[in-house]
Amino acid sequence: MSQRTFFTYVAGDSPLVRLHPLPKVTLLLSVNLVALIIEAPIPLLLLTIMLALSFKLLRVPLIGLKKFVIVVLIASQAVLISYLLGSSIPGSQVYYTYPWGAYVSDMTLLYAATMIMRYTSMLLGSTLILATTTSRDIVYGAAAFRLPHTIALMMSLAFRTTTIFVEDFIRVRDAMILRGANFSEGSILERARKYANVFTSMIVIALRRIMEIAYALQAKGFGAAPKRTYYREYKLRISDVVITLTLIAGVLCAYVLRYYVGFLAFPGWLPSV
Amino acid sequence: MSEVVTQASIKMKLAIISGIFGGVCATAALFSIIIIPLPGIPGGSGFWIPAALYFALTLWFGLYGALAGHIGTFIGMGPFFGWTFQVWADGALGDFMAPLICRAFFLLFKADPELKTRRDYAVWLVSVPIATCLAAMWIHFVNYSFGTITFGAWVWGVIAYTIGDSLAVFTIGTILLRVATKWVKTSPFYVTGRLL
Repeated sequence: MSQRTFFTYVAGDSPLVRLHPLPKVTLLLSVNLVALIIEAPIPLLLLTIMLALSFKLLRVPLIGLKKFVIVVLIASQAVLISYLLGSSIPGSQVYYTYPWGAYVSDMTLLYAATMIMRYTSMLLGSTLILATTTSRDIVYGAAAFRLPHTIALMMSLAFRTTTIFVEDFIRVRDAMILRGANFSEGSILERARKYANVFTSMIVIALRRIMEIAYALQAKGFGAAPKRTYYREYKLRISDVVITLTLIAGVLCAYVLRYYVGFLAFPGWLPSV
Repeated sequence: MSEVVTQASIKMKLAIISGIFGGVCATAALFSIIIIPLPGIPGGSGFWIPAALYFALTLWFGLYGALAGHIGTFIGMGPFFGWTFQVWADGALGDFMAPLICRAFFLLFKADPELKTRRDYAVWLVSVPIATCLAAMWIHFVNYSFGTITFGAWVWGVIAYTIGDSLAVFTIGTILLRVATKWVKTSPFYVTGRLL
């Protein structure tokens, strides 16, 4: 049976869906950290390919591929603009020198491409985990890390209520439009004032909703008992512990290879201010 | 029947405030990016409406208001920039620090969020650009550390961010504080006298 996650429906037999929240969160952190540590283009390319293949291997649908590509393209052009116009990375060939001292060399292009791969691998890794995560996983994940359950409650409420508030925002704005407000005309300041009115209404709606939820939680005895019990139990299996330890070891290995061996460093240039 | 307000029940309600207003800030972030996008900057907006919200929320609810901004920014920027470690470390952490700095100024100079006197306004006008500038420096330092921008872009990014965020806070935040503070003060959730 498929399971509803933050983004999509994922096959219930996907190994990532069945994973305990502890290795899931560790995987999310380690993918991002490893991508941050690596600065060499080929290992980053391999990491990006490996993460892309993981979607297929772990039976996670690559939802909204078009949107994903757009996000990567927008981020890529931001990186390219920054490096092509404002960097001075020495290389064997200089293609263009600007009047303000920056120049474009072969290494500029390689470094910019590497940074795009870094960003893409982080995006792929985070999407892979969050596409298989439910709001329940966040609650139980926080419990697994021995975090206060109020933190889990905050995160879960924020994720769940965002879509409700989007609808509220549209409803309030439409009501104001029906009463003659025009959000597409006027200067930025005038439009900002109109939006301030929308958000004042939203704050009132939110405060009312807080009271409703607070009473519902109090009626259910939330926080009444000193020791909290859970309806569902996520059992931490040996395989979960092994995966978690392997991921931590992977991050440490990448760190040693980058900073002590120099294997994962960018060849021939050290970024500095 | 009157409600018995205990420390535990207030703490729980403040946690709900962070969660619910996190949803409001995420909505504001989504619409800010859609309404006034910044070309070339993924997940960026020329008019960051949630900033006005979490500055006001932090002056009302302290740490829990800042947490709402933190969670809201992370969720709101996600669809445009990915829910990555970088987005958490720059935008979300920066948006957590900035309103707390502003609140520290208000506490230090004993200013009132209702903005009744000239001194209240002076503290508001000075603390917001300082807080947003410090947050901007942090945010762009993180982007620089992740290799997304160069140091040249860091300088321009800090200037643009400080101006854009301060404008949003001044235009929408001032109205929110003037209109809603009196009402929020009557609720048991209003936090006075402490930073966190």
